[in-house]
Amino acid sequence: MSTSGVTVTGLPLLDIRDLSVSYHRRGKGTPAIRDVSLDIRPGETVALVGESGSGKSTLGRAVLGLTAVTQGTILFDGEDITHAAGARRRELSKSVQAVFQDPNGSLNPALTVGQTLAEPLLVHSRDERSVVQQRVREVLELVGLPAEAADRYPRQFSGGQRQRIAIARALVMAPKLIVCDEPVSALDLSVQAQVLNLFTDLQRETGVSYLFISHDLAVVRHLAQRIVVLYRGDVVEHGTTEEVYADAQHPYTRKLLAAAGVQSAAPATP
Amino acid sequence: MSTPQVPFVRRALGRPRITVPAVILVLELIASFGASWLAPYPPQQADFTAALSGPSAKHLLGTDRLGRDVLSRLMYGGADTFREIAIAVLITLVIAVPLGLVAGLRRGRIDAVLMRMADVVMSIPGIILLLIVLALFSQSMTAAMVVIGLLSVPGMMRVVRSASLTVGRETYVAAARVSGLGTWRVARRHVLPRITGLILVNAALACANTLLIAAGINAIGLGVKPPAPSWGGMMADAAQTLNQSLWLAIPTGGLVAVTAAALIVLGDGLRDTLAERWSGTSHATTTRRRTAVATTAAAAAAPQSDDAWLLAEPHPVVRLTKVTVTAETEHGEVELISDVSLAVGQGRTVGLVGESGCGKSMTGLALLGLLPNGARVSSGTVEIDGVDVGPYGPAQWRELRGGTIAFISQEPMVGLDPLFTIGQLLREAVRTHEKLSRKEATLRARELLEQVQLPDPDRVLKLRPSQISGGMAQRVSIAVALAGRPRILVADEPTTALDVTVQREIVQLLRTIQRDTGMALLMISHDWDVIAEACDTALVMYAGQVVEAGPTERVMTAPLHPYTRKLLAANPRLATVGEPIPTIPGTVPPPGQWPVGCHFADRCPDRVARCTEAPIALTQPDDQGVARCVLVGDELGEELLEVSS
Ligand SMILES: Nc1ncnc2c1ncn2[C@@H]1O[C@H](COP(=O)(O)OP(=O)(O)OP(=O)(O)O)[C@@H](O)[C@H]1O
Ligand code: SF4
Ligand SMILES: [Mg+2]
Repeated sequence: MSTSGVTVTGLPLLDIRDLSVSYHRRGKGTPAIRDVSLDIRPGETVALVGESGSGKSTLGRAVLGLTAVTQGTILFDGEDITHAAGARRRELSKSVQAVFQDPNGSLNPALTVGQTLAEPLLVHSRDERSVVQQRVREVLELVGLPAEAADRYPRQFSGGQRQRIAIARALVMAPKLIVCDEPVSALDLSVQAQVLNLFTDLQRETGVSYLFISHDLAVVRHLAQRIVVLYRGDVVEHGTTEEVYADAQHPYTRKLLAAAGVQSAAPATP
Repeated sequence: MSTPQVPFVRRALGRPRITVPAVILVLELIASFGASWLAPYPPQQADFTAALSGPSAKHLLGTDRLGRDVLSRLMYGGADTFREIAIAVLITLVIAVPLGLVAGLRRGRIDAVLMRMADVVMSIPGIILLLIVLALFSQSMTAAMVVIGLLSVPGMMRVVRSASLTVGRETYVAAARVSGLGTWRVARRHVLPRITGLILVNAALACANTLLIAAGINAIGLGVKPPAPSWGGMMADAAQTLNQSLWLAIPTGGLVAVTAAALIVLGDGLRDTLAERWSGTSHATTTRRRTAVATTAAAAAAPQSDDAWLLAEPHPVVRLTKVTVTAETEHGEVELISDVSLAVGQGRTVGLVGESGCGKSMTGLALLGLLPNGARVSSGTVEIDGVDVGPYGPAQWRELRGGTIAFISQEPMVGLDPLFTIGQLLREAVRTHEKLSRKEATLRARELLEQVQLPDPDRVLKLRPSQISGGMAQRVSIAVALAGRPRILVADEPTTALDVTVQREIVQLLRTIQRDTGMALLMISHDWDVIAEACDTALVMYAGQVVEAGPTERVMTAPLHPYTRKLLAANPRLATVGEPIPTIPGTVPPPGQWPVGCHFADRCPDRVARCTEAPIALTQPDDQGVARCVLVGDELGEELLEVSS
């Protein structure tokens, strides 16, 4: 059963197998993540949960090619992208996009919103200006911002609005997967609510998949069909959202549930 | 909020720090390159009868040993000087900037190789190489400048590299990479514009440096061959005849000094002006106009608000009475917070809650005397321990902040200097408050770390901020805040940047410390869980105003104001899975765009006609607090509210 009414079918879109990443040269020291496996099907949201330093962001960055993989494989749409670089990685960026935590830092303050949103389009196609502008207007509308927003600079927007812009940038190329690294943790609760609803609506409209990274179990239950809990680089829990909430196996998961102020009985109780 | 961009050039022109050196340099350039038209005499024309004369109508800057006109020779020598500077600095920039960008953005092997090469070049003895080249190329200044330019590459490259490393870590650069941009595009679009200011400053320094080296080479006679004029050669002449005429040293040495200084000041000024383009804060150069803000008119129109409840705290350590903070913006002076009253008593905790941009931080900063440039308390009073601190100057504020009042912020790392160990930071904080020996200071630092419940304090004392986690950093910054034994602590979103598991611990820690020390706490947060756990009283702020206040429990279980109700409901933690999470549609209106009546009117589901006619007063229906809504304290209105919620 899926929580957001999206039908999840078919082969995995993203398939991560036994992935390890070590920031130390020649594998010395403990790796940031160790033998992590997970898969995401088209139209599905998988949440990656854990405290800071547990390796959540490392995994996200490895999928995006921002961090080198030490061992294991990442398959996207059946294709091995573990070490994709250069032109191949650029090609991949049409289908894999990202939204980051920091709504202040994730937009270049010196570019207008329109310039930022047009950037991926200009890299990938030689569309005419009018076509590009049309697409920019479309994604702004998709995230609930007026078309005039394109001419303004990031600092003229609130944190929640900036996060909408960052989401719009991720949507411009109509990707199949968006890696969301703590996309709402820096926002007000009321704005978190707006942005989470936006993620849900976008998935319903576009069928995009999310790898949703968060430290807050209370937030991810609104989006995720499955939850993977990471603790010090290891997967300690993996199951459907209902299973994890109702019957968490690992003590660390229970601690996270308690911190999130959610009773582990059932996900729907307030 | 929407500050239109003042064009860079126009802003630059308004700054004496830019215009003065720029005018000097432009005049020098015109005089130098136009020397053959503008100079009063040819450079070689000697007038032996007037040798070594001071300034006169005939020779504005006097004459040298052979009676040649100093002004004319300086003008003719200038063109060469500027050409030399240009050669050297351009060579440096053309090579160092791309290499630095690549090293900083690509990192890895390419970075290691480039840095190794830089080390090698830096170890070459520059002066000796310069002398050899001058000897080989028969005193060619061009060859010398090429060498200087090349020798300066490693220094400039390091600067560019470390700046690109920093900018490269910004999230938007990662985002651009994910969008498919290659290194060059990222460098050109995202990194270079951000570090242009820094490059300018360093280029200006390099220009000044080259100017001095070139003058030096000419002064010792290794460069331009006399009688051709050069600034350095003329300085050497002046030095030789110093015992006959003091004057000659002034125009020659002075010109070099003024030019070097102008370059440095200009570089600095340009950097600051460039940086403002996106930092959003405009410089304090905006003269502080003391416009008698429209507060008089507003005060007359403002209804009599019931602040008594807000101010009725026993033993108040701080008290704000009807404080309005205004700031200078492009649209004139606008209110950031309006008529805010609050009091925090000894041992008590007051929470400020509301969405981003409602003025919570501004309220905290007003009571800390830390308002940003251009913002000021335009009416109302701030009292600390019963003393009106309105007239306090910076020194008095500093003293207060060291002792009576303390502050912790959302970003714990920002306040901790990465160059020092935790021990050094804490000792310094302790010693600014009390006269203690090094040993005593270390003991007190240790005690503070124990107070914030950090395990193994002795180990932590030796660590640097980069070696501790966010939760530990927040504990350390609380320890720093406690160093002066404050009577009130302002905690601005102390847990927002932390994991949920750590958030609770920090709130509990603050509660424990408060119980032990009896300090007052002003807790700013958008998170109801934090407010519920920590605060005796909750104040809800919306668009610059207090819209509701009361005992925390009452506010959270029986909210009066429609905004409070909405804000409580818009909480992902409480929402039902599978349904849209309740939200408050729309956004907080920014300062300067507040509606005349109720600030919340645009987003309020219960709005009636009365709401937008005139400013709304705070009303106190009972002893359980106050609210700023026409429907509160009005029988019919409360019925309406009941129905809607
Ligand atoms: N220097 C300034 N000049 C003009 N306006 C400013 C200045 N600094 C802040 N503001 C504006 O004042 C308003 C109140 O800001 P404040 O930082 O107090 O909000 P806040 O409630 O603390 O929000 P957050 O939850 O995001 O921290 C905001 O609209 C902000 O844009
Ligand atoms: S005054 Fe009117 S608009 Fe404002 S909160 Fe009350 S009912 Fe809503
Ligand atoms: Mg704030």
